[in-house]
Amino acid sequence: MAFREKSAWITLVTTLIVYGIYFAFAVPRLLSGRFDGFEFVSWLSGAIVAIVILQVALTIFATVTDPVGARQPRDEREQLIALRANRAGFYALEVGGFFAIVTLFWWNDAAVIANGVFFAIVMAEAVRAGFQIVDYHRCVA
Amino acid sequence: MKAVEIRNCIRRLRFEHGEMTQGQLADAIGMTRQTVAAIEQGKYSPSLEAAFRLADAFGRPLEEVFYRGSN
Repeated sequence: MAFREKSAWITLVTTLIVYGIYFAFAVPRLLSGRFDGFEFVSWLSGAIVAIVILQVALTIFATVTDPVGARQPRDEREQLIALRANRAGFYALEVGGFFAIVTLFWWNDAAVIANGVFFAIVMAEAVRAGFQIVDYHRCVA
Repeated sequence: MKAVEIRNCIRRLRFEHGEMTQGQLADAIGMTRQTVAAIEQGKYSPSLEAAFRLADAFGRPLEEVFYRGSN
């Protein structure tokens, strides 16, 4: 497996796990109106710290197990895969952001909209990583 | 516009050149081993520059390394 594919897997798995836990906590509370600002900031900060620690640790492990691959600059195929993935992530961000704004019609709540935008960002990152993983295995023209 | 199918004989050329590994070829042309594997399997068409580097690595003209699928 290419080093950058490993990086994409690290991003995808940690994003789904950490932010999956965060949204499992946040969504029920937001939808039921049991929103506490301090609790929200604590959980969000904790999620961000957790994902940074996880991604750094796993990337260090991947680097130690493949030092040559980690040092190599991206070649043309990897650059193409990254560009395609970035484009897919951008489209996902646009769609997610639009739906976050649409939540205004149902909740008109800043916390709901903020979490909706944050979800769009998280989804875009997961889509970007997912597209990279798929492209590493399929025909990339 | 109809896509042009391009094939290559990189695998055969590697074996003819002292059983060169994909990793050794990748180092010679400045690409990753996985990209060389993708080119061999027809999953990726390299740029013109990369194709010339591949041909130079084998000391062959470009048309002896890459050819149209209908040939």
